[in-house]
Amino acid sequence: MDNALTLQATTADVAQGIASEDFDQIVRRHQRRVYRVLYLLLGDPDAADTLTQECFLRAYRKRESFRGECRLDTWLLRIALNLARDHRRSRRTNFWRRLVCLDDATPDSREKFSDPRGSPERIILVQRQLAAVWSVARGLPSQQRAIFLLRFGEDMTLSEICALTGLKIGSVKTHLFRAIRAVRGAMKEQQWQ
Amino acid sequence: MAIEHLSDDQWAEMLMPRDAGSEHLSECAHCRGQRDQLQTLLSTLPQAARSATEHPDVFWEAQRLAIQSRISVLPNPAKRTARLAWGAALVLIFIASLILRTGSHAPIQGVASDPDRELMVQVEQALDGDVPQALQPASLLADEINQAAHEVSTSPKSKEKTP
Repeated sequence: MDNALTLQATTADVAQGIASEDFDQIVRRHQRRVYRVLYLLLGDPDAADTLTQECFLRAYRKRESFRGECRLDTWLLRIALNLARDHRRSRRTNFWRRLVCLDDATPDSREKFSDPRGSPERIILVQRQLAAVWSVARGLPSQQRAIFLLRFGEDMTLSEICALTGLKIGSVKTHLFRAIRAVRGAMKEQQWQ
Repeated sequence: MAIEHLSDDQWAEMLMPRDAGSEHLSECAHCRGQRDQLQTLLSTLPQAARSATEHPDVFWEAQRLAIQSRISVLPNPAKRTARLAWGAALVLIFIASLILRTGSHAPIQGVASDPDRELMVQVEQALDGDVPQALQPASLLADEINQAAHEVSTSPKSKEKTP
């Protein structure tokens, strides 16, 4: 259903950019996914919210330039990806802020990334494993992390990730293999503990 | 709606012979177990991400309204263009009026104050005259010579006719 809506939007909105009156509908349709991707990339709900707004604002400013070379959601997520990258860069320059974010991100994700299904023991186990995956993902280099989370957190295909990041499929696979290796390593460590 | 067919990479992956890893997995229970565990864990990530970013409708509505209000304060590109055009027109009018004003006064001031220009005007006037003053006796002499020459040229003819 979501895909169908996306495709409808793509064909309707492409010819001469996006009309401003259609924009509210586009926000309604895509805000959840943009927010989710930003949350996955940043692990910070407030930053994800702010950058979601910024993403749609930037999309609105550049709506005339959208000619439908890619899908509308790909275009939006590309903007979101750039914003997340810029946000991380600016955060990296701020030592104190970085410290605060590292401190409070992991417990928050541990609390939130839980599978609601299954027995309490199962929930705790999955919660721990997910927290481990999350913390490993956070430690990955920027591009590896983005590709890993888009592939497994957002369930995107490799070709979608290629369209989004502008990388060739070989590079995407390389980043993904390295990320999986790091996650496997973390899981092994967790099993030994 | 055009169907997206398989890409070259997807075809290559599909047609590639199965690697040694899959053969190993069929024999090694340890690696198979790890693979299954990893697959299970990774397959829960999308659901986990969705549940982590679940919010009540109020949240999405507030976010949408915030986006709308930020968009509403953005300057309208059409208005901005019109404003720029008016500004440019005003600047041009101002520059043109400055040029016209300075253009009407400048030559008079220039002639009055520039001694070189005065000298040039005098030289030009002198050249425009018939003969310079210093050469006036010479011009008289030249006139007399010309007159005498004219008489000489006409007198033999009259002599030839009279005898």
